[in-house]
Amino acid sequence: MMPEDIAYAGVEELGKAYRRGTLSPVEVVETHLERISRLDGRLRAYITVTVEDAIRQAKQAEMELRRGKDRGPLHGIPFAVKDQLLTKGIRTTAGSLLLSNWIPDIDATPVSRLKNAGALLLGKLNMTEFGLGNPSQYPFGRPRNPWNTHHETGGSSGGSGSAPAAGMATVALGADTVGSVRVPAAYCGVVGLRPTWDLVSRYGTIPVAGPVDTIGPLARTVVDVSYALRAMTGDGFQDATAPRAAVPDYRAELEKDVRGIRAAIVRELFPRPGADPEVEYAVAQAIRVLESLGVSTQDVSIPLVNRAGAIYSAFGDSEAAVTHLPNLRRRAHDYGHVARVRLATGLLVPSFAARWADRAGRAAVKKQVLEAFTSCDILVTPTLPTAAPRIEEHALGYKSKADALNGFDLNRPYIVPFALAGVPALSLCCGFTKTGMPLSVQFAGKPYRDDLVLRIAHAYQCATEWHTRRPALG
Amino acid sequence: MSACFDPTWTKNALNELGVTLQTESEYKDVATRLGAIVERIRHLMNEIPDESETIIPICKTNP
Repeated sequence: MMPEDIAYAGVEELGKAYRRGTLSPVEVVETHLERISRLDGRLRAYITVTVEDAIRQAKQAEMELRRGKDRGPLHGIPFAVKDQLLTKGIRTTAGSLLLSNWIPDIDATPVSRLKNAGALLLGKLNMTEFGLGNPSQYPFGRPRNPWNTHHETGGSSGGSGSAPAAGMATVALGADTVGSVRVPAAYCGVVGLRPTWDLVSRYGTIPVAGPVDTIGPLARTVVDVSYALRAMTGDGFQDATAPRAAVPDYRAELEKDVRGIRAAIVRELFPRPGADPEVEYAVAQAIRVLESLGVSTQDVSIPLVNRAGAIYSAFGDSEAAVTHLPNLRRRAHDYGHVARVRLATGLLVPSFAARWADRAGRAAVKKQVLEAFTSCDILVTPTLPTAAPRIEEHALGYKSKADALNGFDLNRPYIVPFALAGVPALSLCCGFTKTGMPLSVQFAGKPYRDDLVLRIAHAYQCATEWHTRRPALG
Repeated sequence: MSACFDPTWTKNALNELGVTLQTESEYKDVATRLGAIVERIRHLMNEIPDESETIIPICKTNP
C-alpha cells in the first residue's frame, strides 16, 4: 500500500493486513507520524503528538499479534483524543493556557477503553478553550480545515474533525455538549456521532455542562465509528450516571436492512430561509438516496428548535461558570477573551433563568423531540445551514444585544435540540460545494437507538462515494 | 429587567464574586450577553406553556 492509502485505510482494511502479515502496526503508526510531521504545521489538528509513546505502543501491539494475543478489531488502530479527555502521563490542556503544563495521572474512561481494545494513541487534539465553542483564540495554534486551510474546522472538537479528514488518525474522540462533535464532523466531511447522553462514560473528562456533555467518536466511515463506539460502551464504568450494562454489536447491526425505516425531515430546519442552497440541494439528494434504499419519508414539526440555543446558554453558561469560578477568581487573565466573557456571564445569569432553562425549557424541547419520534424512527436535518466558513479575524465583543442573540439563532437550532433531548445524533458528508467544501446531513434517533442511527448512515455511505474523497494536502 | 445589566452593575457584581476582567469593554460584553440571555428566557417563559397540573408543587418520585 502507498503511504497515503495506509493513512486513509479503515479499521477493517488495516486489521486484515495485520492478520495477513502484509502490514504492521509500527508501519501504520510511522506513516501517520510522518504525515502529522509534514502536514500539521499547517493544519494544527494536534496540540501534543506522543511520538515515542505511539511507537512503543505499536511495537507492543505488533508483538502481541505475533504471539497470538489479538485484542480484536481495534488492535493496532491509530487514534487521537480531544485534549478535553485526561490522558495518563500526557499533557492535557483543554485548549487553555491555564492547563498548559498539566499532566494527569489517569486516563479518561473512553481513552482507557480504546487502549484496552488495542488502539494506539497518537496524541491530543486541538479544541476551543475548555470546549466553550467558537469564536476561540486557540493558544496552541488555530486549527485549519484540511479541505481548504482558509476555512474553519468548526468546534469545539476542531482537531477531532481535521485529523481523520487529513489521514492523521483513523479514529478520533471528541466531546459534544451541544454540537462539538457534529460541527467539526460536518465542516471537515467526516462522520461524527453524539451518542445517547449516558451511553459513554465521561469519567476523566473536563466538563462543560454535565446535563448535556457526551463523548463521541469521529472517523471517515460509519464502520470505524461503530467499532469505536462498541469499545467505549458497556458495563464497568466509574461514572455516577451509570451507563447501560449491555449494548448491541454496533458493527453487526450495520448490516441489517434499512427498508421500512421511517424517516422524518424536521420542517423548521429544511428548507429554511437563509440556509445555503448548496446545503439544501445536497440534503435533498441525500433524502432521495434514503428513499431509494426503501426508507419512507415524511415531515414532522419541532417548533422549539429555534429556542434551544437560548435555553442552553442560560443553564450551560451557568454550569460552566460554577466549574470555573475558582480559576476565574485567581487566574482570569489566563483565559482568552471569549471564554472569560462567556464564563463571567454565566456567573451572573439570574437563578430563575438558569433553573427555568435547565428544568422547564430543556424538558419542553425534549418533549417535542421525543413526540416527533412517535411517527418516525429517524429525524433528518442538515447538520448546519452552511459549509465551513472562511477564517476571519472577528473583532471580539458584541456590537449589540441583537448581535449576541444572533449567536443563539444561526447554527444552534440544528444541533442543540438533540443535545437537550439526550438522543443520539450523527453527522455525515453528503456532498461538496462548488468550491470543494464538505456538506453534511444529520440523523437523530430515539434514546439508545444509536444502532439505528449508525445503520441508516452506513446504508447511505454504502450507496454513495462522498466519504471516499480525500483533501488535496500534498 | 435587562436594563440593570449595564457595565457598571456587571463590574460590581463580578467584583463582589472576586472576579476581575481585563478591560472595561469586557464588562460591556458580559452585560450585553447577559441581557440577551435574560430577555430571551423571559420571552420563553411566557411562550412555553406551563404544564404543571397544579399550583401546589408535589414531589412525585423518590429523590
